Amino acid sequence: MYKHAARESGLILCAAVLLGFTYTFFSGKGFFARSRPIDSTESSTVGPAPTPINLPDAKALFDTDAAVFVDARHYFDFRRGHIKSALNIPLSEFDSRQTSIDSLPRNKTIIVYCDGSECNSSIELAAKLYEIGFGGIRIFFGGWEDWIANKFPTESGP
Amino acid sequence: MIKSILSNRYVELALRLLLGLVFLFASIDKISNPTAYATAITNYKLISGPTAMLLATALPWVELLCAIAVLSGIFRQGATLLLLLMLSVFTIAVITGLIRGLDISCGCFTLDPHVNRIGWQKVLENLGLILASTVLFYSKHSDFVLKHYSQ
Repeated sequence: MYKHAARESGLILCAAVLLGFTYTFFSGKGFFARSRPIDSTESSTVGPAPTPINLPDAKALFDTDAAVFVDARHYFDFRRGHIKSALNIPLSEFDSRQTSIDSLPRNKTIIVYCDGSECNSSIELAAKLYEIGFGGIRIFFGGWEDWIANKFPTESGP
Repeated sequence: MIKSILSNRYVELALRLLLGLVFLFASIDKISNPTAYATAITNYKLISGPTAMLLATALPWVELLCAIAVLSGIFRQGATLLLLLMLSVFTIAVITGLIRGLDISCGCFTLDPHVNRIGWQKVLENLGLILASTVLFYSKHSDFVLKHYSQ
């Protein structure tokens, strides 16, 4: 009985993995969407594709007010604490955050971040912003964790 | 008496419909938006982003295929075994999240972060589904199975 069930489970799992990767590969979603923003070689009228930025450079732009920080985390995490003056555009709410997106300045560097080096939402959000015409986007991979580890300015609340 | 109720063919059909429709519904939003699902998974802070993305790519399809299998009756035991495993892992994730004080969206049926927050009610719902899966796994009935009608 258990052997029979395990064999059926194995078949379902294999089929699901195959379907999942085939679907995301051809739809360019999820796993296969990651490389698009960084590796993009498509010409663009808005400037180069999003590029990474390290902590010292991000802090330098913060100090000179030459960049807008965009927090890609959920609102609940953002409310607990975020980089001072950062805007919150959660990746999962991108389509419903048009007002926040419209308020992003076009003449400043946009620095997108999420929790830290192990999250993907900053990459995805940067790609989405780039796709709708924003240039000068930088991805701060160190994210919230690096920022607070260095005791740089933060604030909490909405 | 409980045993006779649970082994009733119509009770079994009702459980199949319940589990099948729940997982069918749960899989649709996740399949259409794997990135948002990966974000929902990483919010539990149990696994890294790339691992979550791999899971978000395959897991909704496991749910969909299990739903189809349970509804059609084909590969039912394998599907209920997978549902049992998935529900157990989901429940443990929710419980550990609650213990760690996380206030996050469950990522169960919809990826909207403002609804379906994790809570003890979610744990109870999952335990109910685990019970239904266990009953189906051990069920000996083979009524209302699609392959019977195709022969």
